[in-house]
Amino acid sequence: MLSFATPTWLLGLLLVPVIRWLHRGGPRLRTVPVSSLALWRKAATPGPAAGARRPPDPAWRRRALLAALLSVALAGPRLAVPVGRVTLWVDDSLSMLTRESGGTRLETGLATVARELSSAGRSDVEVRTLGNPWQARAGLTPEVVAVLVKEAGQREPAPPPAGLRLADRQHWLLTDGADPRLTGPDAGAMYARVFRLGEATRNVGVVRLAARRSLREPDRLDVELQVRNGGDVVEERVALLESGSGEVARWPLRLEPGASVSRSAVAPSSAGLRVVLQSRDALEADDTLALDAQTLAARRVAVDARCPAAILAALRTHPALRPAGVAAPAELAVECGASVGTAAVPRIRFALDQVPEALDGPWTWSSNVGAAQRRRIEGLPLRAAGRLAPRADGDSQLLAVGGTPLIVRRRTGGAPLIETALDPESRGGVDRPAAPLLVALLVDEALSASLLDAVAVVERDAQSVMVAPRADPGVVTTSVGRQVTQSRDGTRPLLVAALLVLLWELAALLLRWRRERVDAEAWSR
Amino acid sequence: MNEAATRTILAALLQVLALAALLLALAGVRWLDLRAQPGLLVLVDRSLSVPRPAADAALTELRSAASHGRIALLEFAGRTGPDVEPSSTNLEQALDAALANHAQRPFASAVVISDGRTNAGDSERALRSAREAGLPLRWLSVARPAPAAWITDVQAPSIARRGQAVQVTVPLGGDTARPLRVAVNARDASGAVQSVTAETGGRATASVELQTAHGGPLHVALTLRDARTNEVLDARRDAAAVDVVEAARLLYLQGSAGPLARSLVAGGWSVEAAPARRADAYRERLGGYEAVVLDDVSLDDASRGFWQALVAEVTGRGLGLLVLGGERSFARGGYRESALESVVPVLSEPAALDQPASVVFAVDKSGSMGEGSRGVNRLSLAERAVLETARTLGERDAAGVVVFDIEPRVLLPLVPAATAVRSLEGSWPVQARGGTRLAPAIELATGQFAATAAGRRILVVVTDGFVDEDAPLDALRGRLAAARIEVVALAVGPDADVTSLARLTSADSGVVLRVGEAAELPRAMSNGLERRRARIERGRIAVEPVGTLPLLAGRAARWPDIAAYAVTRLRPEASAWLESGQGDPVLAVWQAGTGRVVAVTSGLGPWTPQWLAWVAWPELAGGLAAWVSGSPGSGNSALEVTDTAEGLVVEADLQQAGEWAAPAEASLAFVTPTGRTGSAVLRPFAPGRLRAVVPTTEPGAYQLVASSPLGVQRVLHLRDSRAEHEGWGVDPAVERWIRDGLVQRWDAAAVAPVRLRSAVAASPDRGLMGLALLLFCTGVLVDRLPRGRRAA
Repeated sequence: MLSFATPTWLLGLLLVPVIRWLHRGGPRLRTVPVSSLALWRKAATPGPAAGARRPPDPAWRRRALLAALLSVALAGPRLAVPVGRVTLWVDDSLSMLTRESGGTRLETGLATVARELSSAGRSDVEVRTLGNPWQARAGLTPEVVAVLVKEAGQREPAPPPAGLRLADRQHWLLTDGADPRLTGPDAGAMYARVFRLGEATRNVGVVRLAARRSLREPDRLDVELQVRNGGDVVEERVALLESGSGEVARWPLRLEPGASVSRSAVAPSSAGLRVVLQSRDALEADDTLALDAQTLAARRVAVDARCPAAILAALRTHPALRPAGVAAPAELAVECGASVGTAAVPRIRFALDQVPEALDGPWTWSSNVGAAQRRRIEGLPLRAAGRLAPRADGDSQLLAVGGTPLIVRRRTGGAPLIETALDPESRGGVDRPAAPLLVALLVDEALSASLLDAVAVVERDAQSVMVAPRADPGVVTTSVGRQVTQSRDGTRPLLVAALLVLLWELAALLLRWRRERVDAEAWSR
Repeated sequence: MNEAATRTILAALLQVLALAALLLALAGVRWLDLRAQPGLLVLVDRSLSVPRPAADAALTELRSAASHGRIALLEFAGRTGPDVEPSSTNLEQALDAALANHAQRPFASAVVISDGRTNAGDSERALRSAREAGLPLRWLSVARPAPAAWITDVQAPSIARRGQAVQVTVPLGGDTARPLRVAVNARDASGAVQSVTAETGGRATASVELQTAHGGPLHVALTLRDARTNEVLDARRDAAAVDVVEAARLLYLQGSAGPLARSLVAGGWSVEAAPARRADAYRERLGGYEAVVLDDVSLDDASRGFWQALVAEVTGRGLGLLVLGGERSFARGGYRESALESVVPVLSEPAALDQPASVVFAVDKSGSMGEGSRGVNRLSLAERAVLETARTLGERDAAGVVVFDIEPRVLLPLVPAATAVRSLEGSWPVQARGGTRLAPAIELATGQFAATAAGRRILVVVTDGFVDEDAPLDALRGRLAAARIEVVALAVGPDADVTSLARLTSADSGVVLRVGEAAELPRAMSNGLERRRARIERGRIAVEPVGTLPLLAGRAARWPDIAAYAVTRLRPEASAWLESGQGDPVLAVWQAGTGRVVAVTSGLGPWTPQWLAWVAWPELAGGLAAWVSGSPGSGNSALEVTDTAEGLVVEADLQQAGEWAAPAEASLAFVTPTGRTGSAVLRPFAPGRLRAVVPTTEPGAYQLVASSPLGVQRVLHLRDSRAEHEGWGVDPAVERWIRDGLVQRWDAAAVAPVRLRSAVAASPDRGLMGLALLLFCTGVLVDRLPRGRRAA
């Protein structure tokens, strides 16, 4: 299929009749000087008959060819040639792990595509996944298939990025059509072939598991889980919550199609929690969800024994702290005059060397202190029980009241050092005792974390448990899309041809010039 | 040489030139054809960390170096495109856009003009993507040089009360010994701008004081200049936002004198107290308050328009509402099935028909009650009113009628209500004449009750005249009280002696109703009696908290008894925090639209004398005000806002009764720095935590209000551009990317290889091809045009 980038240049073909017209007078005649025309009477060239014209100069054909070649070259001829290279896009979403007759959808689909590639004789094939499109794998080899199956369901798929929708390749898609975002109008138009497969329509999956420290029992975890019915019929399951120490709770669940249910429980503190759905279905991968609750584990703190009782009590009752032991080094040190930690460990240092006095004036916070941390102590009737050393270069004043620095982050070169002159034995509010709130704030600042508000969450995209194919449910099907072609620039061959013709023309001109020069010399003699 | 040879050689020369042009075109030389010239995609970082003049200079340098190439420009910062959002830098998004362009129309190369200080997106992933997509990247580093001095922090209060001076402290770094000047521009909610400057005087800190004349966000911007040269050394456009609160302005409408208003004022609250009868004056001003307190307010105290406006403010804007019970409120105040009741967490029970009542109507039949100048016969309207009211009485009720002028007489002794209705259906044998003496009529009516059994005794008095001057009103009130007789006095017309009638009643034993037009008398009488019969539980009543009250968490296991409360029914959607022994709500809360409403059916006054002397009273009073006004720190919810590249992540932590609460969802309303409003839904994320993402990234002060059944939280959040101000120079990551081969360093000489490489792939230059055609045709013309006549 031939096309032109700028067909306007084809108007240059009109030069052909013009050139023909210019050459209407025939070839240029030689002028030969002779002494007497009478001697050459018999050599007279017969002229055209009356009413007839001389035949045109045959050079017009060469010249017309050259003009035509250049005009067509300028029009930018493009030849559509079939594209042989294939990019296979593999939908590696969770639903592709749905087990159906003979294996998972992914395994079945990859085998089908491999057969198709083999029968079509395609060898230049790269494989990319919708979850990690930027990693290309060469060919659909057994090794590649194994890796694809192993890594499926771990990343959220998305339509291919624009940068990889290259026109010089055929794009094939292997999907189950469960996620309509992947085959929508925008993405769908790029595919030359779509392999759609999948027949199972029932599935229930765990979509979220979250835990945080219980308010009532700080050494236990409040746990919340969410289960979704991604299928098209009412389902019944039993959800089992397990911790490291065994089963925590179980709930019989009844879920309407598309509905979600949430359940809560209190679990013992554990490094890990797991939800398992019993009565498994075709997609087992989403019947389990494990949560790493390590972030909720208590931090070890070393405390200076000289600290006031209020501090000791506050540290003891802080739900996210526990005393450091000999075997387990401290992750935080609290000092009230004596050093108990190294510079490598975050430290809190209380300056308590003065008679406590009430604070007066506006509270001024550093912008580096988060709103949640500020709220902990703002408005409490706190007192100052010491004086902090002047702020050195690099230090950061976190709180001042009435211009008096009360919490300062020192620049140590090592782990953070938080110094405070606030009196931990301040009265506080009726339900807001000062010491625990102050300690909580300082601990958060020292560890650059919000320990009391910490949550551990693992969740899946709610769409990922939808397994029902949105179109063409049934056995493996393939849809053949448009014929993919690549346009190839045809300018260069035309230019080469024009070049050769031009050389020919030049040679002809030069020959004629030589002859004419000889004739001219003869004249001059 | 003859002419023919000359023309031939000229034509040949032209063809040689055409040949040369063709050869150049085939060799890939670029001349006039922009389409065929190598494309250079330039990504210019327009974030705050990159000085614009330096970026423009780099762009100029690049343009001149690649003068023969096609250059496409893509500006980026937090976003890519015309609206770049300069307070953050997202290279990933910019490179994705570049790759999308590249896929449509290939570029030979892309050049990034940036300091590499990205703070959103995954730059490295995007760089690898570009390499994968075959788009060579070059990096032209442009960065802010380290200033002589800079702003290290901005210390400001997060909240201030209106009128309070706000101190902003600015610690500085670098060469602070030189003379420096900090200029502060603060814009308040009214748009007024304060400009204050402070010289550092060799110190490493500058402090300024700002005034807070208006409530709302106070947005602070800072500029640090060299005091000698006035050169700008550092600047923070979104340095701080201070939430200037009006001390939660409360409108306190007093139907009766209660102590709560005094307590709140003593507690530092900004309270505007007004008699309930002046409520209409505040109808247009409700938008200026955080909450409204109705302290024993009757529906009759304000117009229908006021109540509609109040309800709209509560449900739409989140105005808090505290409704306190008393003799004039709830059912007695006419709340039942009213617009006000639609936002109150309790429903006023219908009249207590289960409790029998004896009702004596004392009707003035003096001359003034006869046919007046406007043809209105008040007496006949009073007859109709008595009949219609008697018809509303129950089977166990009794009714009687006393008519009076100077002398009273019993028209109908107390008989069962049904009998009374039959007797009153005919015309009354009375004529309007004579003067008015109230005292004898009250005496006679009181006597009528003597023979009645247990039950409520209600005397309904209808009069339009002056009460006799010598009437012993105080003594009469005493007798009425002794006989447990409640009074409903209807003062008809403008001349009725309301003041004297009011002396017949006390707050808990009666009510005086003004009836402006006689035609309203039938409705006013039946309504007045129904309201009077509304149930009020009295006595020494114990109340029990339901769970742990958020107001006094852990404080009040034992609440003092109360003396009375209006009997109401809890809405199914509402929560009772305090209940009477009979299970009636005493303190109930709920969310009406976006506003939080609290009802205290016992009121906070005469019916709760022990509460007023209670040690927790200040906390209770302040807690209620804070709860309904949604003041920061009230309730057991907390709102945390985090800036992300996608927008604001808003998380609400909710507690209830000492545990994480689990509401299905909550609503979030927000106002962006440009005044755009929007809403989102906070959905469960973890135990006790709801979460929503507000997809907006413009920097500045956001106002957010989260409303859930457990409370309303207002937060002022500053989305600042701190990430763009921290540090200067080129990010070390750029060197690493160059080392890893993800990008190449830009230099002017790099343009040539770009041109060469792209020439191989692109089409031959059409300019050269066109030139070849032109030269060729000219040669043909020279060769073939007719010769001129040779001179003989």
